[in-house]
Amino acid sequence: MVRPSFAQLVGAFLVAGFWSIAPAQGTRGSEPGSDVSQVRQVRQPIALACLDGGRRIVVANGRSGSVSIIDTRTQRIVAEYPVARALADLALLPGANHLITLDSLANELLLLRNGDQSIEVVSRVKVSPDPIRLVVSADGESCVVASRWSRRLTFVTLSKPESSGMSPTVSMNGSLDLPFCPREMAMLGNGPAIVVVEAFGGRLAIVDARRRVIESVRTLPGHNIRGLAFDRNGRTLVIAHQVLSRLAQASFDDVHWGLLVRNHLRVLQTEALLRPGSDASLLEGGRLFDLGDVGYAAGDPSALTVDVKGNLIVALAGVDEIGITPSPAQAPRRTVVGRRPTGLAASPDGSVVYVADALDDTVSIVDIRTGQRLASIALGQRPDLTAAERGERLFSSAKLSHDGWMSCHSCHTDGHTSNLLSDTLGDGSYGAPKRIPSLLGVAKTGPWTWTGSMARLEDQIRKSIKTTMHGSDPTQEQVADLSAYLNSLALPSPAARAIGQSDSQAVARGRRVFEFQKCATCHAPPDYTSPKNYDVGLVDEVGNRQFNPPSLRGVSQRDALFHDGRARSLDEVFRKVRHPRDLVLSREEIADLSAFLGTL
Amino acid sequence: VKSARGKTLTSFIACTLAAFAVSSSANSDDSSSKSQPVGRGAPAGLAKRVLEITDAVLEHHIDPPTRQQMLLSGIKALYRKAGVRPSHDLSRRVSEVVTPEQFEAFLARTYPQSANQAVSAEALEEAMIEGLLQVVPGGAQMISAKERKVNEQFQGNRYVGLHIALAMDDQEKRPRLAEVMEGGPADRAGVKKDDTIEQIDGVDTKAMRLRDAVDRLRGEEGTSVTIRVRQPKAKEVRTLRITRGRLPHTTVRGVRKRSSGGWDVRIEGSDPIGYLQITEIAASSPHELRALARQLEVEGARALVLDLRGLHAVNLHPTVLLADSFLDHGSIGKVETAHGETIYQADSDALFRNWPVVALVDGATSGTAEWLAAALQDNHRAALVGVPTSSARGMPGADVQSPISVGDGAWSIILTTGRLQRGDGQPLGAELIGHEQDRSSNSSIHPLRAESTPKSGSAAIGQNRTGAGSKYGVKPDHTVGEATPAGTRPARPRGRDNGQELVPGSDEPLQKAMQILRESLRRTARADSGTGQK
Repeated sequence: MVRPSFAQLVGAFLVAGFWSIAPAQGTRGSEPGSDVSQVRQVRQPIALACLDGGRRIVVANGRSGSVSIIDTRTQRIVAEYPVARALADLALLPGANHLITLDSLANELLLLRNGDQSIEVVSRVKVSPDPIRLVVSADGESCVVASRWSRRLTFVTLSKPESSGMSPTVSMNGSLDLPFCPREMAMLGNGPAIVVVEAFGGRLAIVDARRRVIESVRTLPGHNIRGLAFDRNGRTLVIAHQVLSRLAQASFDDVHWGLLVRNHLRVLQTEALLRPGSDASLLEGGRLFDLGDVGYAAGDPSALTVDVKGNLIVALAGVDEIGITPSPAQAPRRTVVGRRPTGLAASPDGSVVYVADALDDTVSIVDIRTGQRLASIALGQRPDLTAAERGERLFSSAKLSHDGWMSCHSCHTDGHTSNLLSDTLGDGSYGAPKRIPSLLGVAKTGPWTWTGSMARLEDQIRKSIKTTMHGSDPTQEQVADLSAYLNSLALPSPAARAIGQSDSQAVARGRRVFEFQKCATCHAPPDYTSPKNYDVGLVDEVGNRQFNPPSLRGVSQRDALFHDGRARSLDEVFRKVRHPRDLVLSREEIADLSAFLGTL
Repeated sequence: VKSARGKTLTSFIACTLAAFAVSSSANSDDSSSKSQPVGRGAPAGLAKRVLEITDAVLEHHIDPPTRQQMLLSGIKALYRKAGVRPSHDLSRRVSEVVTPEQFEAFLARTYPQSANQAVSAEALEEAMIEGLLQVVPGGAQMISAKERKVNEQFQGNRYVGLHIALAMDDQEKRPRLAEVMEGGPADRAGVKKDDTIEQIDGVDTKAMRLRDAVDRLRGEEGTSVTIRVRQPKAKEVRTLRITRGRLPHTTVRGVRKRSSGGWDVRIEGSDPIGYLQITEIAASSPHELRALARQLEVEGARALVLDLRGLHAVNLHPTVLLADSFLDHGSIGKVETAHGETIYQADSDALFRNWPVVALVDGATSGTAEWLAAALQDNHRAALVGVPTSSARGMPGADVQSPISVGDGAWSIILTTGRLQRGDGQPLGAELIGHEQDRSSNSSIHPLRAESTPKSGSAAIGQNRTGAGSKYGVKPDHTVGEATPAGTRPARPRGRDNGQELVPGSDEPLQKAMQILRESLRRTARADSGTGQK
């Protein structure tokens, strides 16, 4: 049972006061300390860390919200504790007595104590909605949480406990709004500079955590940035990401020769990173290395870590492998692990790396020197997968594509969109690259494709696999599973973005503008789309003028709008593009309309 | 066939195979016994097929003739083939044809009814189609769906087959192996150059048309064919089973081949200058370039000579991607088509960042290769060294050719579908209007550098690209040697056609390029030391 100290209670109260949200309610689900490793459930391990000098591994299970403990000597699960509704990320505090993790559904940061016999939740504090990553300073005294849909960083102070047996006090220390949905972060030493990268596209911000200001925002030529790691001396930052070419076509040739989607490790000089400047200056002195090659691609590079000997280890999530290399310039030695490896932890002695196989509910142990997979440890019993769960596996598998270059997730990142353009046969021909649509809420937005040519979602799924990914013809069951997965994808929370910014009067005025301008003719509620095509004064490069209106549900979370991404914000939709058909609105009307659309 | 006018051996095979189709068409009257004789009216559907071809030309050609011009030329060719003199008012009558129904009626009335009865209807139709294509500017060629697939395989550098070139042995009246690609399925099975093929899958090849032999030898990946071959004048007959497969060929290469595989990419050990030659622009070229760029980085190169001499290319898409590989933003160039114009903008990021680059060009650098050279020049990405390029020498070439499906897709027609222009809309062959800055700045080469880098860090070397005579295509910044007389295509640099080694010492343009790059590297080093950069 958790018995919070007086200091912790005070800390929690202060936090709650800061957020004006009720104090944390204590642990949900099973009693803390109770072992649920025998419970049949889907776990989805997403992060792990070594405890007790490598004698034990703690695994954060994203889906089940539990943490599993593995004895590395016996390679067995020794316990599993339910701590949250769902987990995102995990970090060890110096001294290894405490861990921090995130409850991504309750929007809480959890401080866990690594006790002799159990893992206990010692405090919970609210953070900005949809927390997805955290980074802890080298001294363990501060922590930053990135919240994806709310586009915000939350700064957390971890006060040192008065005595060694006590837990640190967690207190919120402010927040910072970002111009993009963040995901990965990296901190060099104790900061104050933090690298924060976009969850979907290629934007990268340098944030001064001390002053809580954004120093720079630049765009990397790439997207789907899933791994960040400073080298051991901090001189360079290695980034794992993908590149989608706007000029390439989704033809067999361009896919085969790695011209459409490529997978990379990019090395940036820390000096160039921290020095404000142009996008190009960010690349000064940097280098780009290919992951995989023709015939042997490495789709969806993901987590990165550097071991004590300086070896770089990268998860290749789409092809269910990891790569190990002493230098990014050297092609990694690749090892097959479980499905969708997305979390890595190298042992303190640098002998092995532990891999969280998210969609297999296993942890793989790989010998760093030989690349041999030594073991695969099942985290517990699992029920039969539902169609949507099978579909999730397919959605994130690059094995569905020719030679493993890409998965569905490569472009529809996390089911959303990379906001990039791609020249596929979705509109019937090459030559007019189109913005990749978000698939969140896609089930209700038929007909599909920009030209509304697909009446059945299943047909579009099949077509994408065959003519964009150039994979084998999918079976009917695979298509049905993928469709079930897409149907399960919920819209991003618009409220999350609008925290503290929503002006109900502006929203009401914006709704009236929407009605007065008859926007619902094409964007009809409740899904704010309609089955017909319309000519609204837009024409693409091959002469298409009739487009199916995209749903406006979740529109505020898209950073590129229209078929060719010509508007980068709702404001630009009306001010720059004057949609539809040169409609002229006043500045106030545009602001109100944007406020209303931001609530959808 | 411009689309098969590449310089490499494999392209030669494509060219040979394409040529078969033409020659066999021309000679098809030699085997016409089964065909319908003339004199029974126009074959069913001929009018429709002819109109579909003219539709394709009118819709997609950048500068199409009129439909009447094509029809008149086709009908004249039809009459010639039939040995019939056309009526004196044929031209007027054709000009009066407006609707498809009128043309069908017209063809039914005027289809040659007499004269040479031995000429088959098939041969007459081929003659008519060839005739109507004769007036299409830049030429045009009909290819079957199968031929198109093969062409696409070549362009994708993923041709599936035996990887040989066939010729007809006139004495033996059998197909002969003109070339056998090293490392290909035929080579690995033991086929030798000059072998005569006596049987294909048990079928005697005596008097077999080359086109039929090619058809029998082709097949899907992984399938096999058994051939019986013999060396000239040898008695020994060898029976070989060959599995059809792919053999990607090199389109970007270095200085010399290594015995261990791959290429040497540094010209001389003492200079950090790399050398890459593009011998063909295919789908694989950007990939090959990336791989060699990595090798150059690893081997310490910091400057590049890019050899575009002798490079003729017509495929736009891989050229766009290749240009994009070199450019960090900026306009690659413009393409005018029947449906409008497209300006291709490079994406961010580029290979050889911060490297000075010199591109070697000559009078044979043509088509999209010339467009690539112009893009490198206009974006200050490379200084051009050599002799002026092709387009303004009266040579055709600044065009894009594409296959266009005709009718139900059983046939395609290769047409000139686009005209290449510089990014600012100037034709490649026009005077260098809009590029005055180069004339005065004395800085014809600018390594691609980050914006934050002080200007003193960029190189400024060499001559500008002004000079006498502005009728050149892409005019080099540094002219080396005599310009080739207009209307002729200079020979490729000696010793580089068949995979032979580059001979830097005797290659004057290359020497000039290296001199420029050495100077550029020196200046950059001085500038960097002056600004405290490493």
